[in-house]
This record gives sequence, structure tokens and C-alpha cells, in this order.
Amino acid sequence: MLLFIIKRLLQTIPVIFGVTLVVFLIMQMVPGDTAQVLAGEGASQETIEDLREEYGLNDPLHVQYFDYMKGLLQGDMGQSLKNERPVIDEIMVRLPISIELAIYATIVTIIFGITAGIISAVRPYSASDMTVMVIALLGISFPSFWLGMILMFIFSVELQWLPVSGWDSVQHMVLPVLALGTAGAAIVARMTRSSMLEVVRQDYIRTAKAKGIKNYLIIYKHTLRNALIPVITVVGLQFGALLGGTVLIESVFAINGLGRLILESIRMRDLPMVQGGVLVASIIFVLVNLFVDILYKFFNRRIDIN
Amino acid sequence: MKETLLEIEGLKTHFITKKGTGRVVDGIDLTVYKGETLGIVGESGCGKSMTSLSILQLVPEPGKIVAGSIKLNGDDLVTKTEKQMQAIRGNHISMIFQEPMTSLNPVITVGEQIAETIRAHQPISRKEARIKSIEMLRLVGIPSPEERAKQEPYQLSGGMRQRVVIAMALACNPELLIADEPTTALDVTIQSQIIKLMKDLQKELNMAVLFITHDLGVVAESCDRVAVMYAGEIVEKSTTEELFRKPKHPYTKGLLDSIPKINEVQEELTPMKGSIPSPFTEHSGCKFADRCPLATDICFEQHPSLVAYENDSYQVRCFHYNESTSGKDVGHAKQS
Amino acid sequence: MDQSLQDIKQSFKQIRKERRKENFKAFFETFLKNKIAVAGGVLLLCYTFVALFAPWIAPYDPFEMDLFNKLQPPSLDHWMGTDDKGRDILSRIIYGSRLSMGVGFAAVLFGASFGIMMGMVAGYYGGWVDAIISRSLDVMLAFPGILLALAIISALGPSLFNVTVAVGVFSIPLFGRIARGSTMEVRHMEYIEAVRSLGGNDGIIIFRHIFPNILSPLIVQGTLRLATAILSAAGLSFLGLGAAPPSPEWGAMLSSGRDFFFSAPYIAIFPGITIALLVMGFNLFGDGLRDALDPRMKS
Repeated sequence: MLLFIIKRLLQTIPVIFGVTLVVFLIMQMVPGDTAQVLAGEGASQETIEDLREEYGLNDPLHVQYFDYMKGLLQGDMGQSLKNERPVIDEIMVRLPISIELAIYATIVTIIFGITAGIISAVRPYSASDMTVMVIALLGISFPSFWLGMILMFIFSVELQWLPVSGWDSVQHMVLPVLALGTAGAAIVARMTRSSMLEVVRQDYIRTAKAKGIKNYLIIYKHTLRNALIPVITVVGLQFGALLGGTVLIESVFAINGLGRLILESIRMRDLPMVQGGVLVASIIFVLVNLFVDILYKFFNRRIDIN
Repeated sequence: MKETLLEIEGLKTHFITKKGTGRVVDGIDLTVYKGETLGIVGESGCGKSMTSLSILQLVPEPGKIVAGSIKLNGDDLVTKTEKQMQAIRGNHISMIFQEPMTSLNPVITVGEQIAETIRAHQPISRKEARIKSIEMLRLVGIPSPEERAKQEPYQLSGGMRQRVVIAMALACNPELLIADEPTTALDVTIQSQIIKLMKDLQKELNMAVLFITHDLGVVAESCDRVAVMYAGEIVEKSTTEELFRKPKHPYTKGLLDSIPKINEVQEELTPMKGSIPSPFTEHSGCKFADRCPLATDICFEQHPSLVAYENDSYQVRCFHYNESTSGKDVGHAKQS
Repeated sequence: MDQSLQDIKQSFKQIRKERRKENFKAFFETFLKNKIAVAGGVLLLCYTFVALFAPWIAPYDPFEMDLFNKLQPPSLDHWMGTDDKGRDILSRIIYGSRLSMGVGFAAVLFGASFGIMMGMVAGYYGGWVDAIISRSLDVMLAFPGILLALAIISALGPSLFNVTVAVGVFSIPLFGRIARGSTMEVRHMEYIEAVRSLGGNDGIIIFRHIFPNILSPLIVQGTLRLATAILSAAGLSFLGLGAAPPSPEWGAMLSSGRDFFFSAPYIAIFPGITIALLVMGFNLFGDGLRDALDPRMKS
């Protein structure tokens, strides 16, 4: 187990390096003169030349990447083109909000998803199973941002139960969290169901029945514990989709998180800010996946061995 | 006089599908007496496992008991509700399955798996159940049971696991233990250890064992009486001694011939040719006729019944077994 | 080319042709039995039909403004109402199907081509080639959700074409991983070893012999991925990074409907339902394909 953790940690390092490289290279994909783009339209030739010098754009590519990495390791992600503040500062202000949003949405994903999956699996092909599965199908089919708009219309505009936008109180959080978590919950529900139906066929469930164990114990103790192990991986992957989805949901609900920061920066062509935002979100995702993998390995050790 | 524990009469367990009816268990009569060991022998697919699952009312979909009765101490199990059966399973009747690797829940400690069985049937505390489970582990010969109880199945070897399975099955002192190929998945030395353990415990706890196996060697070692099954039917029933001394049904003879004999120069293994017919096939004659060296016209036309000979000391289902005229038909109305 | 190699290939071709025919028949029978999957297929056919014959089906010109009839709720004249410029929403959705579905297909085609190529090369050669490609795919998977697509658009600039490229790139690792895994499985199959030992060209082996054998899981994933691609592309357009107004692309329609959403919710409701039904069609169809092609591949 310890060996696995070390191995997995070592595998993470090149991936994070790869991510920085990709983010760096994407900047190089900017069509035309990077310095021109950085300086913005109507900048004088002189400003452009200054920028070129400042950003080391005259250096060969690998030197530029080396400088970029050197900065990163010191926590320097460059400066915003918009207000010349350090990128990292701006990100640190916005990041906690997005993390909060993503964590709550993950909780929704887990609780609703697993509950729905159990309801389905307990009586497969029954009316309750069909209902849950149809809802889950709708959940993965509707765009999250559209769902957010509809929820906003119903609960904030028509019923006026909840505020329209922002991120100041629990009431503000309900709709964005639901809109963001629904697709994940639907996927987790489908996964939980199929995993449980798989486990129910196992020999040890027959053994439990032959011992005279009561039905609810067979479901919650014997089946669920085993069935949830593969669900861990799905939740981990869903966290990535959630993190990406914050861009859309924060835009719909006007939440000043990292996603909205990235979006605004794209609109303003504030490339260092986009770069920094994407990089931070990706590193978080990589670390979450690392954690999930270890968790999975830990729970699966008892089954793996067979 | 031997006391009857379990009496199966005319049991039929069929798999009803769109493609037809699979007669997996097709009219079985069996009696298990208190404290004895009855073996059911046959190739895989002959319906022996379904017979045992029928007793516990655990036949998997789309299987269904369509006829017959299974009486435990005179009480018919077929008519019981699921709730009533839960009180019987693991308590009065226990079962050991073939695969020790997969028949224990991988995420629950072995101690807890034994303790929960006890708690399902007896009103005792968690702690008492834990102490009892450790006792059970000791009883089945697991060294340092206190530590083992806290372990999960993946930490135990195959033989150990099967001991745990046995401990689990015996935790509530059942009157009947159904052992479905309990040693098949184990290697030979552990096999004989487990069989010896089961015999010792049987004596100690005074229970009956229904031993299901395809291995005649195991039967010779452990059973008092034997029923040979073929394609959902019993074709021969007698004491173990009688069966090995003088097998009567051509199928039994075939089975015995296919065992390699240790003291013989190893010639060729003589497995019987052909294989068991699918339960979905319709038969008008004897189900074994296709593979039988003695088959004549009558065997393909009429279905033989199980006939008792010599004061009911053994029963055979074969037209060509006519050792004495004392034979009396023990079958019910002739099967259609 | 060597004569024996020629012969061996010929006979394998024959065998495979027959086997494929049988497999296809079995697959088709299983698939047709799955009524839900067939419903998904029918849904997809309807969408395709609408996209192909948009000019004949659409009741109005999708770009024609009618400022006297703006923001009209659904009526007999305008089944889905009109938008803020008086354009018929139904007609715009019908025309938009060409854009939204086109982007989805193009993006998946793009991602699948690169991904499959990379995956097959990695799986076939193994060793350091595999190591490099696999690590690259890992890196691409390390970007959460649509953030990789966002980053690409931020560099290339917003446009529907760039959205297509971005969503395509975002799909590469999925196809790459599946193609790699399947290639490694079939690489050691007898006839491929045979062709190989007779000195077959690697490129030909990969495309003529391995590719057809790993196709089924790829088709399943391709179908399911179309659902994701369409959702992602609509999302990016919704953020104003794809199609620009007055384009009737569905995501863009949703985006422009936002400002009037509280007073005229139908502007946004109908494009959303349109997207959802299409995505559902791909999901149902894809699930059905998976079950019919390989029952063991249950998710």
C-alpha cells in the first residue's frame, strides 16, 4: 500500500509538469505576434518591443519555458494584463468560492446519486427503478447551464424563494449547487445501480441469504459496501467535470469564482490570467485524482487479491 | 428406528423461460435421517445443486419449485414465506458453498460474518456474538482465533476460508448441513483435512449432512447413504457400501469406472462418452438411454420408474435391472 | 509481395468477412430487441432528417427580423414564439441543428482520428513510444472538464471553428486510451502475428488488420462522446466563445435568450430541450450499441 502511494505520487509529478508545458504551449498557439496580443490593440511599436523584452519573447522557446517554470516554483504566475496585479493574488481571492461550489456540488452528487442508485437497484425493473432511471437520463442530457437558468426562473423569479444570483449566503448557494451537481448525481446513480446489480450476483450474497440474514442488512451491509468501491472512481472523475462546469454555472449565477475569472480573462484576452487559472484548476484536479486513486486502492485491496 | 429429519417428496424445480421449460429437478424423493450423512452424486448439471438450493428456497430466477414438498421435521418448507425461511436458513439448515474464495464477503471481517449469523437467530448482544464467533473459529481449528476474527477474507488462505465458512454454517447448531462440493476448490491434502473436520463436528454437534459432490472418492470417505442423480432424477439410491460393492444402474457403473484406481496400473481413464442432456430436452424414454451401453428399444420409448428392491434396501431406475422380482415401484404416477 | 503472404491475407480476409457478417447479424438482432435503444436511434434519425432538410422544413427564414412581432410567446403562427428581434425560434432551432450537430460530429471525428491513431501506435509498438503517448494522454486528461477547451479557445480566439477544434482536442485522450487498450489485446491474435511474421508492413497491419478489430468499442464511445461534445460545444457557445450572433447555433441562442429570459423564458427553454433530446438520443443509442456489441462492457 505504501509502495503504491509512493509510486502514484511519483507518477503525478510528470503529469503536473506536462500540464504546465501544455498551458505554456497553448500560449504559443496565439496566432500572430504574441507581444502584439499582450499589448492589446493600438499599442505603440515601442510598447510592443518593451513587452517582448520583458516577457523574454525573444528568447528561444525552451528558455522561455524554463523561465516560466522558475517563476511558477516561486509562486509567480506573471501579472494580469488588465490591472498588472500578480495573477496568483487574484486567483487566491476567487479560488475558495469555486472550491466551495465544487465541494457542495460533489456532496450533492454523492448523496443524491447513491440514494437514487440504491432505490433503483433494490427492485430492478420496477416502477421506482424506471422513474429514477428516467430522471437520471434527463439529468445527464440537459445542459447544466440551462438547468441553472430554469431553476433560477422557477425558484427565484416565479416563486421568489431564493435569490437570483451571487454567493453570499446558504440561500444563494442552493440553486448553483443543484444545477452543477445534477449531471454528476445522475451518472453516480447509474453507476451505483449497475454496480449493485453486479454485486447481488456474487456468491457471498447467496451465502448471506443462506445464513438467514435479513434483507435490509443484505442490501446495506453486504451489497452496498462492495458496490460503492467502483463508484469512488466515478466520483473522482466527476469532480473534474464539476470543476470545469463551474465556469458555466458561475456565469449563469454571477458568482465571482475562479471559473468566472477565467471567462472574463478570456474575453479580455488577459492570457496570463487564463493560463494561471487553468493551471491551478488542473493541479487541483490532479491532486484530487491522486487522492481518489489511493482511496480506491485502499478499499479495493481486499478484492484485488483474488 | 431412524428418525426422519428431512423428507423431500416429488420435488420439481423448473426454469421457466420463453424458450421452454428446463426441468432441472424433475421429481425427486429423498429422506435424510437425523445424524446421518447422505451423499448426492452426479456430474455437473445433473440438478444436485438446484436440489440443495430448493431446500433453502433460494432457487435463482427464473427457477421455481413447481411441485412437491420439502418437510423439515414434518413442516413443509415450500409453503413458507420469505420471512419464515429467513428464520430457518442458517439456524436449522445451513449451507456451505463450493468456492471459499468467493463465498465470503470481501469487505467484512470473518469474525463479524460469523457473529452476524448468530445475531440473526439468537437474541444476544454484539459482544456475546463476538465471543461466540471466536469460539467457533477455535472449534474449526483456526489458530489464534482472536486475531483471525479481526481479519478480512483476503488475509486468509483457501483452506482457512473454508474453515471459516464451516464455522459460519455451524454457528447456530443446525440440524442439517448442506455441503455443496465443499472441497472441490481445495487441494488434496486440505481436502481431506476439511472432510475429517466435518466428520468430527458432525459427531460432536449431532447433525445430519447432505453432501453434494461429483467426487465418488469423497462419497466413500464420508457418506452413510448415497443417491445418484442424473438429469434431474435420482437413478440409484442405496447405502454407500452397497453402491461401491455392487453398483446397479449403468450410470453408476460408468461413474465408478471413470475413477482412476490407485492400485491398478494406470491404463486409460475411462470417462463415459457423451454428456448430460440439457434440462430443456423433452424425453419420452429413459434420460440416460443415449449414453447407456445396455439401452434397448424400450429405453427410448418408456420412462423407467425408481424401483425398490430387497425390502427397500436399495432403489434403481432401470428397465434392465431385474435382479429379483421383489421390486416394487416407489415412483409416483409415471412421469409423462 | 510474397505469394504466401498474399494467400494468407486472402484467406483471413474471407474468414473475417464471414465472421463480420455473422456478428453483424447477431448484433442487429440484439439491438432491435432493445426498444429503448431503438427509440434513441429513431430520435437521432429525426434530428438528422431535420438538419438535412432544414430549408424545406423551417416555416420562416431564421434570420429575418420582424420587429413588430418580437418576443411573441408560442402561438399557432410561431410554435415556439419569436426572439428579441422577432425571428421565429422554431426556424432558428431547425437551422441551428446543422451547426450544433455539425460541430459535434466534426469535433468527435477530429478527436477520434487523432486519438485512435495515437492509441493504436502506442498499443502496437509499446515501449518508449507507448510511454510517451500514454503520458501525453494522461496530461490531457488532467485538465478538468472543458477547461482544456477553454484554454485552447483563449489562445485561438472565439469562433465556432475553434470550438470544434477545442472540443475535438478534449476528446482525444478518451479515444486514445480505448484504442491503445484494444490494440494491445488484438496485437497478439494469431492472424496478426501471422501477417507480421510474414513481413507485413506495420502501417498496413495497423490499419487493415488491427483497426477493424478494435472498432466496436470505439463506435460505442464515439456515440456516447457525441452527447458530451454537443453539450460542451453548446456550453462554449453559451459563454460567447463559439458561434456569434445572429448565428442560430443552440448554445448561442440560449446565450442571447438570457437577457430576456425572465420575461420570455421560451426563448431559452426550447433550445435547451432541443439539446437535451439530442443528447438523450445519443446516450440511449450508445448504451444500446454497447449492450448489443459486447454485453460484458457494461459501464
